[in-house]
Amino acid sequence: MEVSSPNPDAALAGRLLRFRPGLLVASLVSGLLAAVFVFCWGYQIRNGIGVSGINRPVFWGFYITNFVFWIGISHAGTLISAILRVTGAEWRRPVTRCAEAITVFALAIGGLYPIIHLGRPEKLLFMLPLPNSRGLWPNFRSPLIWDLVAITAYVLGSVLYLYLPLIPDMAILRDRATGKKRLFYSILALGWRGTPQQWRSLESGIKVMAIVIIPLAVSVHTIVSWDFAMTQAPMWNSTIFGPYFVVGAIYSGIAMLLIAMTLLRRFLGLETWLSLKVFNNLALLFLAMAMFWGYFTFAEHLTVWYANEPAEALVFWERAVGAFSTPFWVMIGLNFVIPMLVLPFRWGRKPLAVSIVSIGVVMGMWLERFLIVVPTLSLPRLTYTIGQYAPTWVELGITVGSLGAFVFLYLAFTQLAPIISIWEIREGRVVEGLPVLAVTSETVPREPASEEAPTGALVAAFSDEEALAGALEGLQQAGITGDRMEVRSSIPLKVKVPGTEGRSRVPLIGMLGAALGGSSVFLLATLTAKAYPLVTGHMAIIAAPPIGIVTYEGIAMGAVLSTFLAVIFEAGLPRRTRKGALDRFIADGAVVLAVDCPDDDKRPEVEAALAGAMEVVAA
Amino acid sequence: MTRWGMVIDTDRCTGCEACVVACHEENNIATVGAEEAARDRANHWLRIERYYEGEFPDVKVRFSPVLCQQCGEAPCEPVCPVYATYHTDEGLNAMVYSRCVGTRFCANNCPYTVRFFNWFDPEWDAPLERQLNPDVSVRTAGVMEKCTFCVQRIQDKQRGAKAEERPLEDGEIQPACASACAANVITFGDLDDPESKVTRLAHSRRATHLLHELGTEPAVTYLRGEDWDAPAERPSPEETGGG
Repeated sequence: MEVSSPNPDAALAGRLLRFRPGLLVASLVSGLLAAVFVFCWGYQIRNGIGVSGINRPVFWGFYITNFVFWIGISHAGTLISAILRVTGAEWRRPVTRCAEAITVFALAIGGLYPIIHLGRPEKLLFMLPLPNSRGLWPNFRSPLIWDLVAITAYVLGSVLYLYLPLIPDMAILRDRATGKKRLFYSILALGWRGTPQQWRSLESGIKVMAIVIIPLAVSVHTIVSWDFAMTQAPMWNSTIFGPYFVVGAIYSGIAMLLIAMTLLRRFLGLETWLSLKVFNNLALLFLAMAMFWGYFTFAEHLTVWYANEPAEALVFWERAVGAFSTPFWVMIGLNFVIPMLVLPFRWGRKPLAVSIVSIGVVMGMWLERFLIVVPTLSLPRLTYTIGQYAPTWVELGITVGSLGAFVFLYLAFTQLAPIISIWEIREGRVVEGLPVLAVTSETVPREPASEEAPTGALVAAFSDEEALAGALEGLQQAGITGDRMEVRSSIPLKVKVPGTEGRSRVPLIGMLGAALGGSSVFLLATLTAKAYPLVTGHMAIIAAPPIGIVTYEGIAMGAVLSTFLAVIFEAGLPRRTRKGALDRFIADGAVVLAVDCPDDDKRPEVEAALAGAMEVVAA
Repeated sequence: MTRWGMVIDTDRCTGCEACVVACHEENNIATVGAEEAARDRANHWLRIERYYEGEFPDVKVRFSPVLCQQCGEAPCEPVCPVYATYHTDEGLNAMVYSRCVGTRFCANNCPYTVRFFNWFDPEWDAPLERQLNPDVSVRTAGVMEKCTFCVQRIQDKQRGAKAEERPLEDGEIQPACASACAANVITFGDLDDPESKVTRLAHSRRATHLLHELGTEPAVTYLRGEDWDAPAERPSPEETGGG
């Protein structure tokens, strides 16, 4: 380890948000496509859902295909990031944020599609459990209500899971910025100070969220698959659909992530962080998912072919050699053959190669969703009503436009927030035993101390934890107790700071929230069914499996929401922040210790203890 | 209890489609026009499926009127998120137009493809709009619809019988399709009444159900000769009630 080597990560914060002319072009193009999306949807709302190409019997078309596709893409982030976090994979650090952002924006787009698809989008509220004068309630036996509950929980979870680790980065940006920018980041940082207590709550919250979000993400795409699998339609009524959809979702999600990472690396100049090693690891995961996908696709079609039940076989043969054979074999090529020919090799896991494969997989996975939705519908059991489907320009405009809207939102995010987590990269350096700080007191402009700061306080900046530990020891000998000092840092510290002992209550509150969320949704589903007892199909009024499914989602929703609120509450956020004397040092990775010493006798002792600091100011 | 049911004697059907026209008139079903019909958007709550047997010129045509089967265990009902379709206590598969948000999930889960969607607001070629039935609501764009067994006629007769303080007579209620049928193909009545004509016919040895293997328990029973390739077996007088 060479201490004097320059620290590339110190440049990260400055590099991330720097404006580039290429971004302007990309934003214009994607913004134009987003405008096409808005126009086409507006046209459809004005003229009716009939402007699409869907018909009888193909009642679902591009919109449902896109819905499943985008919800699938959303599995890139949150799920992968959560798995990597829970397993403590160190190479995750540069990946998590850009993956989580994909999730949030893919969900924003995917979540619109069921509304776009509705015949009467203005009646959307009928699907929500809102008390109303006629005592009408939604039908919790419908997979679409499971969808609604699951996707609501997932959106909530993904946004909060993106936001929680973003808070310390927002504080870093706040402390580096001035003027309007500072105000913007101040609001988003919620007054984060980076004290050991705050870090404890935050880390605990991230851990709980990561654990909750894995089964939540799995359940979301399982439930999306159940929109199909719950029916009697040929080749939809399949038990394999749950895992098959989840695997496809992760597969397409990793593909989208690899494309985004390649572009970020190239156009934001992030080669140091989105390194070849990271690409190699992610591409290996990608390869494993390609094999999973191939296995599931084979298993799904094998059973249908072998059993040869006429209605199912009709759909199978139309896919294999009939009207849908071209998209089917293109899908097999893009999703299985090409990845198998490229990804096993080291050259195939380099950014350019792997992102080309990924573009193919994204297209192939879209085709997969299309081939699930349309062939089954166009080949109903009563063959007299066999039909065809072709999209209209409105559907094409919305489909392509929504991709533009996604890119536009993602680009906007890269300009507003660090697309690589600054503090997690720093933490990774500490784990590797590398110095965090690249700047010295000379290179950091001194900021004038705030006039409102309490008198008699000394504020010292340390280059790392070891220096801080020395100072803390000195202070202890001087008899300064924990309540008279405050430690602040831009990364979680290992060193024990007096007065900050104890454990976070976040997991406990998360569990209570889960219980509360689960029981609330259980009661909602049960009591509303009892209050509005309509018979549907063969099911009892209070049907256990559907209630179990929505209760599960309620548990997840309660857990993520209460965990987030617990972190915010326990960390004492939001609060107003004063500009501190050495904020800029913290933003650059230093550890800052403020000591309140009104007692003049002890002042020399305190000053001696702080001798190891690179900067001491009297506040 | 009452459980409405229908028997359709396919051996008698001539394929004249008078029932289809009557259904359109009775239930205010919009005519979508040639262009929309060519896009597979024609709405006929009742359709006559035609099946051809043999090679030209030795061709035989079979007709099968298909309408909502009013399933006892309907796959369309539980999938609706807003209870726009549910099971009434008289065995009808009801459709609440004003509740429908247009997810079209019910139509996808209907194995008989007898649910119809209003892609646009309804229109009628003049002067057809003048014959709209005041007893039946007109459906707007974005709403699902399907055969109701002419529930307005059922309720009308039930109210009449109640006002006269007498029980409903078997055969008193005639859906539009049944009353328009010249060949006496369609019989409607109460399947829970062991004496009714529809119950008797439903127990005929020619009785079958469409896609009975799916377990949807349709309220519509089809009668047909056991071997469609052989000359159609003449239904016995007691089966058709002498009609």
